[in-house]
Amino acid sequence: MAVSASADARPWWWSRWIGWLWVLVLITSGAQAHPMPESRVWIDAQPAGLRLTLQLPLTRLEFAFGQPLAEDVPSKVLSQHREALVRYLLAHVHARSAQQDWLVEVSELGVNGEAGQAELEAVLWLQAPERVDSRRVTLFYDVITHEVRTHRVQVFLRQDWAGGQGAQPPRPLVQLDTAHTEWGLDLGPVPSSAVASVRTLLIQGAWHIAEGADHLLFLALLVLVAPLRAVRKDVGWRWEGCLPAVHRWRRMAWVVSAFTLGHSLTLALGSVGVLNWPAAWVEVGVALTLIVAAVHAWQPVWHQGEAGMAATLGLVHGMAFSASLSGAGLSVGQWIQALMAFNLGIELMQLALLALVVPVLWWGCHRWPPGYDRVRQMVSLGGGVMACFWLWERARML
Amino acid sequence: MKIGYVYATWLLAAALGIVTLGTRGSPEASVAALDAELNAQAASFDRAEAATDATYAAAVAFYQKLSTAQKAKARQSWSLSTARHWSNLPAQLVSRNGIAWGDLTKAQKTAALKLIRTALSTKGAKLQLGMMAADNYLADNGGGSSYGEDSYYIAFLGTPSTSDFWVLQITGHHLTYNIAFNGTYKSPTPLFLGVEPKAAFTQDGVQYDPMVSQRTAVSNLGAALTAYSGAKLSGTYSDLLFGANGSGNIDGDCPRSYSHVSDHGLPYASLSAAHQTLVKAVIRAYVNTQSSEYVSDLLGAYLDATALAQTYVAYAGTGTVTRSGDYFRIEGPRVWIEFSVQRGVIFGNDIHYHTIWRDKVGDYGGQCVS
Repeated sequence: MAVSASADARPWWWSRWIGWLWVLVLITSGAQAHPMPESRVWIDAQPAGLRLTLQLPLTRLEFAFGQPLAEDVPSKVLSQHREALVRYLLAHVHARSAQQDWLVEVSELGVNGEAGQAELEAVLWLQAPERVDSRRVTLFYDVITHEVRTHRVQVFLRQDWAGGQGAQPPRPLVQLDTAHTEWGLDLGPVPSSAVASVRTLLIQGAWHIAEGADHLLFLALLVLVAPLRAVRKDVGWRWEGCLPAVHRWRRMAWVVSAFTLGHSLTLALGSVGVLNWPAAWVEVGVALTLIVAAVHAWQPVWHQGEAGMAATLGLVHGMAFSASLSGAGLSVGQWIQALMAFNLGIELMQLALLALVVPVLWWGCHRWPPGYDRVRQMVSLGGGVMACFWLWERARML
Repeated sequence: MKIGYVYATWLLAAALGIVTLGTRGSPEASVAALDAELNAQAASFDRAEAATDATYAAAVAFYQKLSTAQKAKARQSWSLSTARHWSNLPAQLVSRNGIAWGDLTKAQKTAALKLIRTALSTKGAKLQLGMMAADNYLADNGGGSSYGEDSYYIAFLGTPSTSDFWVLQITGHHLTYNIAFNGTYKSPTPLFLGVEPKAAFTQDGVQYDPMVSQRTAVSNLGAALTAYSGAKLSGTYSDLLFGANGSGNIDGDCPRSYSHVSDHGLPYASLSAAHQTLVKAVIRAYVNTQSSEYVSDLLGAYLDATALAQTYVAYAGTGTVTRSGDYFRIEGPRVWIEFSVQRGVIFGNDIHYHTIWRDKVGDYGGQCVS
């Protein structure tokens, strides 16, 4: 009977939390509906050259292209103008180094967005000539700006895997307009270490959790009650007494692994852009998970299926992590490496901190239960107040 | 151990309270009702009183009606980088300084409107309500929750005073006033005006056409300019040259690079006397949105004979205000007005307007200098 009860308890909590997450999705979607007025160019550095992803608002491109593009349904743009658009782009993007022109080709062309806000997304491959440093180049770019005097182009370095800048938020490089159509890109020499990006990401992951007081507090609140026994009294469930060592280990392992599983999942989905929630809402979500964890540390909210709760709340934390990891422009292999390195950094730091705290907690729990109880209540109360403060601070920013 | 429940309940209640904190104001002080109020007292309100003192009093009256949390939002310390944080994008996309209209109660909205009307004029306040109604119209016609009157903001940058420098910043999607008091210059600039739908529309039973005076004045000028070949600029102007186009879609660095503008169009002096009047009418259409104290000061500076001798007019596109890519500019030693016609965002098959009035030396009360 006990087995079936716990099997029931878990799916119930899962479905309720997933329900709430959906509510969040509905609240936050639909708010974004305004075209960005400027062009964006994302540069991905590759060993043999550069890949440029151009995002061009049709309402601006049409002036320079000379044909109306934004009037029709976006899907018709390519069927009518594909060849001419390719020719147009090739006439306005050039690269040159050591007195030699690079080869430029348009490898992908797509139209995204609804009528009136649609953008042409073009992927251009810029191939460096043989025996020329592909990391130092002069770029010429006047797509739209050769005609439109009020247009701006924001250029970002999105990925430089070999240079140690992989999977991180894009770095703004330069702003171009009618008067500025040429600039020298110097990515510097490739670091000698072949795994520069992986190492950077590992360290970043570790720092991310070590610096994230909210993530640490969440983990602390979970770990605090992991060695305790949930007992049903006539007033409801209460924490009472210490579990035997073998159970403590199991609970701890379950809870920490479940949290890891949860945040790894959303970190992965977030970094490829499948989940794309506004950071401000995710931060509010994290504060809410802290409140839940603080209440749970005071008295059991989940007397069973605690791991399910840790995993579900972990989903929210993973979305926060994914803000620092961007998979766009990486190959699948690089992205998997990036994800693993960043996550491994997070896990290693978690384990290091646990190794520091857990022995003390268990000693206290075992040797001096009343004292441990008081400490637990203090931490729960303090954590709850802290969480409310964060919630207040973050909700104001919405 | 009942305290456990008390604690849990308190936490949840606090969480709920925090999330809903100040989200909605009362619906009674609708834009339509406030607009009717403006019309009723139009004659008696605009007096030739010093805007600085009257605005100070109205600002204090408004401020006193706010809660402590609201006060903290409404009042921010002055810095140029804070002041530059406005945009021509909806506030959901680019956040604004100050307290949101949607966070105000009915009484607070009434006090806010009185402040706006005092700082500007009945004309300027009507313009503001018209812009808010236009945003409500966008929200109701496909724009959704990114648009609407609730996302217009009022901020005090610096402490309201009758002697020290402060800026009353009123900003939302298509409208931004930066009214500077006690600065080196009396100025409400940079002042952004834009509108979609482009002309008259009916919202909640009231008809609005907020930018009718600016649009008509520019349209009249355009009809005259096409006869002067020197007035036409080369290239296309799809938006404003010096709008809110700094990094992050907020106002750009101070001062804007006026000296890099090489294509000025036609000197004012080369226009016929009748056509010169049309240029002055455009300048008046913008300046007259302000309090009488500021109007007389600014028109004195902009329409001064020496200033006009150094003033240029230019256009790009068709010379009308009806086609995407139509563009006009009036540029003097101080005044800088741009008017851009572009494709609609919510009504993609129609056009909408972005316009800006800057003062090359007076922006942000004269603080926008290198």
